[in-house]
Amino acid sequence: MILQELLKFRNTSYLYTIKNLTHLRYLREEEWHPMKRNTFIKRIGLLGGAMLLPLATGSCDVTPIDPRLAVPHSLLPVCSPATMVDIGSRYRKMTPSENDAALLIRLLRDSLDGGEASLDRQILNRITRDYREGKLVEIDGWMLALTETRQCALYSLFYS
Amino acid sequence: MFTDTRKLPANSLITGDLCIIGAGAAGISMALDWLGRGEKVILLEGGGFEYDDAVQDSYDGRNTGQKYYPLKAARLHYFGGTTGHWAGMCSPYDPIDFAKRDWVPQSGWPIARETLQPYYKKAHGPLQLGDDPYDFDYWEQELPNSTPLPLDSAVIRNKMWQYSLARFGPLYKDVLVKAPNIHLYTYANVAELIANDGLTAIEEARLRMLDGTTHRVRARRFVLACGAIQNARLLLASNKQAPAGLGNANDLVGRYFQEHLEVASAEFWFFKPRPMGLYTYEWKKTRASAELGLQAGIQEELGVLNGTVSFLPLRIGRYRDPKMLTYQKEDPRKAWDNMSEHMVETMKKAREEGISPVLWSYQLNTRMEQCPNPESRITLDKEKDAYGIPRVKLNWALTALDKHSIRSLYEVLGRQAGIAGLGRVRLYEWLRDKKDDTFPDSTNAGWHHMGTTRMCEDPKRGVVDANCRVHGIQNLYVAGSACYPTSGAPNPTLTLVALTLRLSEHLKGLI
Repeated sequence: MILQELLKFRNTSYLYTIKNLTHLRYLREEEWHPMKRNTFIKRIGLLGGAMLLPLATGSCDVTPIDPRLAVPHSLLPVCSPATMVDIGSRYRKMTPSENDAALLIRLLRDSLDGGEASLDRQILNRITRDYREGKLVEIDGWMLALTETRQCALYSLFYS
Repeated sequence: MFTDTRKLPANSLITGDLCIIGAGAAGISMALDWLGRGEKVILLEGGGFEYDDAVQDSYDGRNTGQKYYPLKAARLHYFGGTTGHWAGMCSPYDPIDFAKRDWVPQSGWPIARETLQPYYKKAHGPLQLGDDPYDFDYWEQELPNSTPLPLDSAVIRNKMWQYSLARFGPLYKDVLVKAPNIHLYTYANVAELIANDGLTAIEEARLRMLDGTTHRVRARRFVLACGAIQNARLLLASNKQAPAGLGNANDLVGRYFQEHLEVASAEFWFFKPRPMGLYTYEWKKTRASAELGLQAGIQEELGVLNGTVSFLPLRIGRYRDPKMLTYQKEDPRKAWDNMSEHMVETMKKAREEGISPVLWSYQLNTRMEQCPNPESRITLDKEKDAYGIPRVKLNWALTALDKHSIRSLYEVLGRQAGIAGLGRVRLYEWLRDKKDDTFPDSTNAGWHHMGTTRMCEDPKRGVVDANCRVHGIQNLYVAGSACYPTSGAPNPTLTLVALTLRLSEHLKGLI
């Protein structure tokens, strides 16, 4: 019965929209937050714009940032933006030494392989490696890869 | 042959070769195994063929430990026993369940899984399960839509279940009533066992009726088959000759009470819908289904108990209250109705769930053995039931290892889900604090009572020996899950029937 329902849903346009940010659906209505999908996309756009600008930090490290670093793509199918902000905020509180955008960006960037793969692919590969290597963080019950948690932390710095 | 004991003249003497006390899954399986033989088998059932609240009341008792179901409602006291409302879930215990594990106190059965293997096969007879094995490879070919989750098989295993629809009462009433060598007595409530002077053999079982009438049963061998709580109660209450009760020289009777921890523990948020037919169960339709568990080597590496994980659609699970809260009526029928009504409400809400990842995500429900714990025990209370038998007092006590094991199971599963790119696992709040060893009141149990007359060759560590004979008493045996030294991951019925049939064969060799 469940399978049939799932198959039914598979035939809806909803699932076929699971690409990039447009597939955002949220855990439950109360977690939806006032922020709807379009708002989220706008904010991501703003965030992207902000990050594409040289980022000035206290350490005077001036670096152009790809906004994809700050969007935890891996969690988009299962977490609402509000949840990702919450995860990120909790992580920063739990790990005060990383409560710094520049540091988070550096940590994220340095953890990637580089090479010819797209940034999205590199991040996803890193996340899978985190799971393999046991680099996990438990936040609010979520068992997450360190990389995606740092992405949440970065996202939360810009969003909140 | 059948006798309503209430109609016997007072102080009747019943005699036979083998006396089986209790006509539930164990007692009836054993009686069936003796059909057509020359020996006279007496099968005593405390209740009748139908539910009788006056009889059921004798199962009432008090719980002083971890929140538990009302004891009156936790078993059924009539012919067929708790098979009258069981779910029929059957799966053999794993080899590791029988093994001595350094990280599990008091673990290790005096028999191995291989010893029980032929009896598992035989147990499929009374349970009406057919000839199918439990191998995952077999069912992967046999079942439609049996796609397993692509998890690392070196870490995660698929544990197969089959489903029995056998309600032993209606199923076996006629065959036992008509059997010339089986003498079934209903309303034959055993109040105490009387041993010889040296306490080395049981001479008779004394029956007590609700009107105060008594009867006696004499047999060459006696088998207690009343369930783990009643078996212990009867031994403890037989304390005229031995103040601590029969078979209790080492203060072990009633200790090590074990249950299965059946508790909603986490959520599996899949990235996209997946075929989950292999992990789905539907009453009367599913032939077999799977649950996930840790491979034995991983259990050893992590020092955790054996357990499995079942999948419940999250849109149902998120609205379902724990059984421990909905099955709280004293009357088992009302408790069942209450739980069922709640499920209907839950399904109604589930159907109204909007489109979201909830629809393809799952609540993860643990089914795990309980660490043997001497403080988890059955004792006698001061209050007596209508038969004049002390009621039971249950102290269901869990340990840090129980909590650690459940948590570890989901840590591994969460990690494997990430490696496989399937989704993310989210622990429920009660599991999140590693330093918290307690369990919430919402912790479910499986209505599986085990371990109160545990099996061990050493009388100082067990009540019965490897043949389920009570240490020191040459003609007294215990059938069923009371004998389990450890409670294993799966539900107990298949194994208790197998163990009973093994005992039955042993007794045939003696009588």
